[in-house]
Amino acid sequence: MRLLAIVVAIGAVVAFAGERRAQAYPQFQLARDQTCTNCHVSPAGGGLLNENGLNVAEGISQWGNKPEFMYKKLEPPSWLLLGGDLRALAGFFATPYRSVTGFPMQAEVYANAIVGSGLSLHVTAGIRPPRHGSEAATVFWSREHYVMWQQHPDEPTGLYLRAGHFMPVFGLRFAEHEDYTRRFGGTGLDTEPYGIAAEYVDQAYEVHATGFVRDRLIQAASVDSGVALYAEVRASTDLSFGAEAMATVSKDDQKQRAGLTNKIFLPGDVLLQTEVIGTRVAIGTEVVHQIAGYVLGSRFLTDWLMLDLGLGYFDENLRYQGLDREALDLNLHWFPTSHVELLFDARLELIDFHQAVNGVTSPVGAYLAFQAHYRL
Amino acid sequence: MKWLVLLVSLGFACGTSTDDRPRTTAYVTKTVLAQTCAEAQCHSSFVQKHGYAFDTVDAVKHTLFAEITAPVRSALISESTAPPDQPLSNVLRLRNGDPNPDGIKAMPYDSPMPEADVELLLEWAALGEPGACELAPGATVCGFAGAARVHCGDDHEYVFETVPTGGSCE
Repeated sequence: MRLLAIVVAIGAVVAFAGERRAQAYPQFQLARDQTCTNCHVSPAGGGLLNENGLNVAEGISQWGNKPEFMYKKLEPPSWLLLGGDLRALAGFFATPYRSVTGFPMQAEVYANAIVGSGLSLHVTAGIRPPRHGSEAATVFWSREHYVMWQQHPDEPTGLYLRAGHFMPVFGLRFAEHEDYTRRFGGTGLDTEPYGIAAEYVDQAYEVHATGFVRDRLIQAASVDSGVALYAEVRASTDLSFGAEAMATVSKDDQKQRAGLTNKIFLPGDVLLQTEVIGTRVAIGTEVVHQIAGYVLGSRFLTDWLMLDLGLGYFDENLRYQGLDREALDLNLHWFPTSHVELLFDARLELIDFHQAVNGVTSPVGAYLAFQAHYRL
Repeated sequence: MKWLVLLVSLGFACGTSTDDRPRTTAYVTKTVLAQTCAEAQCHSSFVQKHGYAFDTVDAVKHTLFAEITAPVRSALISESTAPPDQPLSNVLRLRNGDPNPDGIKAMPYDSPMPEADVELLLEWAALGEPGACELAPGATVCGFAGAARVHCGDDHEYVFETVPTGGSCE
């Protein structure tokens, strides 16, 4: 029956095609463990869980069941890790036009094959929003495919080298792609380029350096090529600081980004994460300065209920009034089982703090949405 | 909390209310269209929802000349000098209860848009099709919205320059 439900769920998502995607939770770092690699296979976090990650998935669920892939009914060989994520969302949107809508967000499977000593091949494949005019040819794609060498294959620390199609590690990597530091900070949804990365992860610090070029094999969502750097130091088990920099070039513009991150685990089981990114955009002789910031407070109300309160700020051009936007986000995550997450999302979005500029006030946006997430 | 205070302060303290941003296709594309309309799942080159892509200058020009048929382009751009009755304005400013006989879908879909950016797009569109500037080289004329000077840009597109308060368009 459970298998039938999974097949029906996959079929339904495939039929409607994915439009949005969310990833891992940086809220768990410090709150549940020190590094992304303590729970995830990838040094960037997200996607496949390792053994410790599976235990965490079971531990934070209300009615914990077997957290392994397909409830351990299907056991791949030891050299192969499999997984996947299905997500869908429905809600009421007033942004500012009022409507009720729903759409699939993600239907992807992951495979990580160990092909040698410390050497592995990773593939993330699934449904994407098809391109107009080429729907049949573009409904499936591989968002990630890379070769990775890991210095200590059985440990979550050490040197990682990656080459292939993946998102450069840059900043806190919030799960929701609508968070301003993701949407306007150079790591938007489905913008993975081809790149090579050298990454070192230790319990006390981590450094990631990536050089990347635009994906020329498809009509990609990002046309930027460049370099990205991110370094994070954990001063204690409850406090971390990070710095980030990215320089990109495209046919139309050049961008330089620099930012800071901070995570602090406060008394009362509250994790506060902050990221601020400043961007310089050169378009011919014109130069635009932007700033994007996001503050996210998270608290586990119970072992299986997590509350997020987020504040976002983005100014698309610091020189002019009326172009900044502010977001207040409220997310409530419920983890009923090791594989299921139900999420309530709410956002209030203002333009220029709802002030009038030249006698004109920009509209207010808001939405209330429910999201369902099933991990294979 | 300090960050919040800083961010709020920035929001209230920074910037000028005189909008003299360039009305060029490159500027409008990279500062407004790409960030507001061209997320991957929308009007990006990746998905090209309804055939429209607004993430690069080439994509915008392709969209305007290849994907949008001449009558629609004419309605969107050439006749857009009379807001709020023209289609682009309707798309960007449509609200529940407004007459919508053509079933236009309000945009942007996922978040509000600064009114200053709506105005910028309408003025850019009203200046004519990108690449279609027909002014003589070096010629400058008074243009859209009264206090403005217009000339041809490097890409042979209309460039809009706001005349400072108290200045003369001529």
